[in-house]
Amino acid sequence: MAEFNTSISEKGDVNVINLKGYLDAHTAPALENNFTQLIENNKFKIVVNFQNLAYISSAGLGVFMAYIENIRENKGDIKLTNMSDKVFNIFDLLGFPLLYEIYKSEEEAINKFGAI
Amino acid sequence: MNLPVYPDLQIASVFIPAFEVGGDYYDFFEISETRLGFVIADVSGKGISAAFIMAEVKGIFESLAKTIERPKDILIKANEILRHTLDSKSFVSAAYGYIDLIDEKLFLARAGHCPLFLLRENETKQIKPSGLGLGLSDNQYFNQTLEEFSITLKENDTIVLYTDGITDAKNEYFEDFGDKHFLEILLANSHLSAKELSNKIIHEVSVFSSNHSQYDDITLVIFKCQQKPKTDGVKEWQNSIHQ
Repeated sequence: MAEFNTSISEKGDVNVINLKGYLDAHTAPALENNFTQLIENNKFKIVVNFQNLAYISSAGLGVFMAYIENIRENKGDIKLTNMSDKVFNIFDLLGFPLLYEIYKSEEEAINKFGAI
Repeated sequence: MNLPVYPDLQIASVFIPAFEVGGDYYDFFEISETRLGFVIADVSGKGISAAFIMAEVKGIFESLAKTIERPKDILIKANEILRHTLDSKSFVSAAYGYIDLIDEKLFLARAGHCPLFLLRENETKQIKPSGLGLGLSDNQYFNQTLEEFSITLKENDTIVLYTDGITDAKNEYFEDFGDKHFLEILLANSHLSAKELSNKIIHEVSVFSSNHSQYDDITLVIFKCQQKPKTDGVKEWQNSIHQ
């Protein structure tokens, strides 16, 4: 089975989730746990870094939709960064750039929260 | 599936299910003798839940295509329904359109689905009007961002609709079949009939991914506007009958 793992780093009051490997229906629960954990701890300013993500399936995309409403209701956001062209095209096809802020660099995304 | 028969229009379609149940769906709607509606859709995720959603999507389009004309309005209504019934992790990419054979026009709206390809005079045009996937957003935002596309069709135009099971097909090195490869095949074979082109594409995808199991459903729908008999020719033929 393709591997997927995540790590979370705190940058001021922003939490960055780093994705690595293959995000699909089988591996999505790991990312869901990250979001659940952050929300339970009232951490609503979230950046997701796609630098090391090799592949995302439609089920993987669905994870981002599951939490966004709750996070935005709590004055937070999920901002996305460092996507490869291939991953960006998948998000773009579905119209995600109309719903999410997508940045080239992690620093840019963090700065948009006004954290640093 | 029994393909509809329309004058001056070739139609071909292929559906190859993956080993794990997927959520691809396509259909035709014979709106009138001169107007043909069509839809292609892909439900997010796989398995039984995707199959159930696909069955719901089929019902939605079957009923909407009977009562609403404009593709944009049909997708808006479909989003309204699916926004309420889908869980927050699920969505559906879809493209709905119709071909009017009297006006010789194609109308299409796209809700997050793969672009449509138009092959015309040795060129390939990717058609990708703006639109969010169904179930991703509330109706207000969905409506604002949804565009409708229309084009006057010419003889020998070929229209290609597909799901990402084609472009995401993998070889033994886990490389994608890809948009570029797909476009090259379309261009090199634009002279073929709808059926021949569809066979050619499926053959190329099968050869490319022969050492890798098919992970996603593959759906392909092709329309080709046939060359019409010349008006003069018709007159000559009619004259010869009367003689």
